[in-house]
Amino acid sequence: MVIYPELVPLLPLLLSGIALPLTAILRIDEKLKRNIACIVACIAHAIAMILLFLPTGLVWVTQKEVIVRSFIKGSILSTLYVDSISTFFMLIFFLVGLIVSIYSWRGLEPGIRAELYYALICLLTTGMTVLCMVGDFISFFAAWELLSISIYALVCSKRDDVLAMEAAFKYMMLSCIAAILMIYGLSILYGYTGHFDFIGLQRALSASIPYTVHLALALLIITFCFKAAIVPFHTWAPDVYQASIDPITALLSGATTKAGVYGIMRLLSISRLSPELILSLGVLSVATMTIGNLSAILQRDIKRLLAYSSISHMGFVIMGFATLNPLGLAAALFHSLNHAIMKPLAFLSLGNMRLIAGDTTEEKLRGIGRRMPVTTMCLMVSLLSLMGIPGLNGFVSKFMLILAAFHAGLVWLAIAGIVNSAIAVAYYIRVMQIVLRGTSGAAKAEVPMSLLLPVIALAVMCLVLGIIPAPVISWALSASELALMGKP
Amino acid sequence: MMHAPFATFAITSSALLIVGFWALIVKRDAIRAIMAIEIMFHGANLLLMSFTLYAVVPDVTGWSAIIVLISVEACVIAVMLAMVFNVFRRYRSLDTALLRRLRW
Repeated sequence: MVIYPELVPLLPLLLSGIALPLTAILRIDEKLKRNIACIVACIAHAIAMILLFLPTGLVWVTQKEVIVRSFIKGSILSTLYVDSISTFFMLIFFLVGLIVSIYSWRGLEPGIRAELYYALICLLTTGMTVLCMVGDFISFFAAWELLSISIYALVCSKRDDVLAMEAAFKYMMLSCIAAILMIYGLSILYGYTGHFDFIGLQRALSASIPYTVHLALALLIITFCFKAAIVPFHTWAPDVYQASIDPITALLSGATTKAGVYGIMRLLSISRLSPELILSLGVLSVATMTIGNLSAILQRDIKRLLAYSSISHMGFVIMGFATLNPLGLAAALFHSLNHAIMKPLAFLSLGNMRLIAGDTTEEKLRGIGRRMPVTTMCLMVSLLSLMGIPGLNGFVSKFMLILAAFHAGLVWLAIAGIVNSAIAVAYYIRVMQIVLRGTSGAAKAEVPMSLLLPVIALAVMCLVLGIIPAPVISWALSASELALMGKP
Repeated sequence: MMHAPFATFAITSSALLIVGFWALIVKRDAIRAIMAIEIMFHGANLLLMSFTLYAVVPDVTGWSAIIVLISVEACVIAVMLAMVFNVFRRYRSLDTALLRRLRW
């Protein structure tokens, strides 16, 4: 029997995803069961992360070479394809999964079956990791559906909540249509090239390709844009973000939208997208930023406001793809990582405030800053970073994105980015004003340490990446040069 | 063995997609919505099948891909039915027009 060292980071996650539901039959105390589930999930994510960064880990191996393996001899299905793009996204997924697992220990509302909840989180991370590792589109589709199914179930994890049920149902219906478009795209791609695997497709698509294949690529991009909540396909996002519980909102905006970004990145690396498609990505980016920002201004519920701001930030990420130069792609990757740190930070600190204030509407949150100094501090770090204040990580990647747009000669795109950054400041300042001004009169009421710890860790990461971004940028640059290799 | 021409498959597949989409938009019943989604899935599979049947280089990859896709879709439909069951238990109705509480 052959053991593939690349698959080892996957094992703890997959095993805990399978084993945790089995603890439901144990006749032990609910609280003990919850603790066990939380510890298992946290350890699984931590092990996966450590294995990724070991001296023999995938991060360092993929810097030198691209790992390609086939599990079934002679078959091009079920292949493994790991490069530095994959490891970059795996870092994002493990990081968000770990933070959310730690937060959910105390942050989970009563009435949610903890063992099933954690099993689903582990399966979600497994699905996203497999998505990054596979080398053909059929396994890719299977992993895509694994992560989608886990997230549908997680969205309605509060079983009796009507809003969550409704949001999950909507999300599921729309997501299924997107998946169908993906199968159509894959069929056309297979019909014209005879390949599902990335290497074969790369070879087949490097020559001039017929116009029908561009249609297939467009269909795939639509599917990925749907997952990433890009504007014409964003309608599910605010509802789902608002209705699901806070850790799951953090997971959705931090990790699963990045699965769509990974898809677009992979498509860029294996094919030469036509100039029209690239231009339409730019147009979608401008539309996403503008509509996300303008809708955010109108919101009265802070969580929904942050959901719209999350959409506008995904527009910034897509902007990097539209530039199609190494700097732009690196900036898109870096902004994905930053978004995966800033947005969970914002949603989790908001979750802490919800525990004290009862809700996240404007009225309830007025003056909460005096009562919860640490949480408010972390929320401020996140908002300043989302705004793009120099010294925090959001600034570095936004600056890179706008610079890349100028380099690519897309002045309109760069100007749209700058204008939208300015619009965004308006509603972030409003959130700060709501939280900081006024006195609620009540005594200090900070949440327990286990809820503060993940939030503080994310805030520290924001600061560290803002001051020393160089290692991550060089990693992202190597990944983006790999993606653009052999293209004009 | 003779097959119908490729165009027949392609047209049937697109017809299934359109019928499914139309049903999804027009019908307000949750079970019918699921059936519409399933019809669309079948349309997509049919297109892949016809491409495999008429491949320039005969290959088993397409067939194995179809089997994988069908099994994955079965899982998706099962989860969907579970969710509809959950909605039904709450509302005692399958009318999707009731799901209107989240509006901005």
